[in-house]
Amino acid sequence: MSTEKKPTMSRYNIEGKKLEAFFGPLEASIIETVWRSKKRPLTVREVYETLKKKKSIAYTTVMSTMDRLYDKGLLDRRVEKGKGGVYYVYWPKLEERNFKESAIREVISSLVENFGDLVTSCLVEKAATNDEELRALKEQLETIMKKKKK
Amino acid sequence: MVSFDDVLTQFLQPYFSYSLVFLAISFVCIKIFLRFNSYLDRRTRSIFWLIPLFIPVLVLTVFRPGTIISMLPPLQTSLSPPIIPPMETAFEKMISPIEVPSITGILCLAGLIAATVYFAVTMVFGHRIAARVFHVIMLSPEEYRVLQEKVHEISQKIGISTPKVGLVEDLRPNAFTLGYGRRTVLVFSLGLLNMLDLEELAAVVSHELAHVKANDCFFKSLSYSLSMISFFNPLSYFAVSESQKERELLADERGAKVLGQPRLMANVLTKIGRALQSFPKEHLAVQLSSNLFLVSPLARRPQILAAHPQIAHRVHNIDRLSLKPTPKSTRIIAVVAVSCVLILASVIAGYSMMSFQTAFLQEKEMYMFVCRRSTEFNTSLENSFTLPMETWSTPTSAIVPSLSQFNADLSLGDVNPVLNASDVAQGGFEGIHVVGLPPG
Repeated sequence: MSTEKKPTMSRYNIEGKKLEAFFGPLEASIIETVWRSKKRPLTVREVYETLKKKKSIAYTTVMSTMDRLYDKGLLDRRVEKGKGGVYYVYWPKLEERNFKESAIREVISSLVENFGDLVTSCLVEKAATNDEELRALKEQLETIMKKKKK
Repeated sequence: MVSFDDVLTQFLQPYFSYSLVFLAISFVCIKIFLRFNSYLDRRTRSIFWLIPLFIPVLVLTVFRPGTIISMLPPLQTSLSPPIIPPMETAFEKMISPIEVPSITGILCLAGLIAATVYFAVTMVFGHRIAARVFHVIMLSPEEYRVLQEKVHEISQKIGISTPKVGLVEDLRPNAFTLGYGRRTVLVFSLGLLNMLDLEELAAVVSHELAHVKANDCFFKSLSYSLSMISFFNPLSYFAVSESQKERELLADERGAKVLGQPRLMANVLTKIGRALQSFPKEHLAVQLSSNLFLVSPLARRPQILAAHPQIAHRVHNIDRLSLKPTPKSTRIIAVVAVSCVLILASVIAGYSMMSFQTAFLQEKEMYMFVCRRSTEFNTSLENSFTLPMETWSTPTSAIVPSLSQFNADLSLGDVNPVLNASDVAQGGFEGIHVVGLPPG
């Protein structure tokens, strides 16, 4: 039942905090709950019960949001048989760190594609505000260049 | 080593044998009776199926399980002469070892206790346990609003208070009802909600609410509890299965009437039945609770034990709702005649059974002879009588012929350890104490 969907990032919200820059608030809560959960895979009910402890929420809302995250390729799912019958279980397609790296790359690629060198200089300015940080950045660049030469 | 006679004695204890035989007789009678009474309504038919299940309760009320008087051989070994002084302890020694627990009595009591516990637990905690097992999620009034409005509308129509609505994540299409009264919860599976449109869901709702209206939660608990009393009798499972099937057909009929579209109800049942075929084998929890569902999820269960009739039978039953035959006078006469024959046959069968059982147990009745001085006779001892001394003036040889008047199955060897010639020669004995039931 699991499908090979590539995770897609449809938008970047400049005002959103952390994951909410990529997702809506509920999507962010759900994906975070799935990442943090020790038990995997998870049913919609399990996610719903975790979220219910933090805020008032309807089961059907969680169900439809998880369905949407599956459609976006962020969650994967399969049908499993258990004592409650036959149901969907979900797990994240990418782990938290992998997802964040992939998302940031996508955003930066998009910026570079649209605005070219300006993006690079802005990034350097933002990343290094004093000499020490500039030196560290230079070292990082040299390491990357060496790796590429090899 | 357990002999065949010992086993037969256990089986022929009245509380066990009567319960087995009368349940079987009543089962066959009800089966034939209902076959000739096709116009009886489903509710009455389902109650009729409880009659065989009530039989063991009645038997246990009349014949209480107890101990069985054991054979003499073990008694002989426990009694070694001299037995007379001290008299009280010797007598107690003689009485206590001969009572053995009845295994069949233990079975009956175990069934009774299990049934009582099951009934109490299902009535008080049943809905909570089932909700936990199936992970029922209670829906808020905003969720599936249209469905909840439909539930409210049909509840009003039927005349019951609107139950709560729950959901299970199960992808198989099904529905069931939990609890009773204010605690009633109508549970739909996700598979059902995804598969059916609102009109079809209304058919499911009316079926489930018909169960609520008919107090099927109570009926189910009661019938399964009663079947547990005689858990050792396979016919009790068949009887409970038949009663549950009648209840399902009743809910179909009432649901179809409330809906006003019998054909829609039939179509929905067929649709769900077909969809369930495509799912994998059921988990144990589902197997154990399959009687809860709208359509049995157990495709492979033998029909004779199923709690749901086959879909085709249910559809046929709904289809012929408008064609119910009205009883003709000749048919009524035939039914009365068949009923009379059945009653007569069951009375004869019951009497034969009782005669056989009584004859067997009397034949095997044991007597224990205890030599007592006249002042020490325990007249309050149950099932005992005193044989005057004059009837056996010459012990060891004369005792057996004199006792033959009681039809006792004894030999010299049975009496000797209790009483021998030298004991009697000491004098002072005025009679012997006989423990056991005199025949006839």
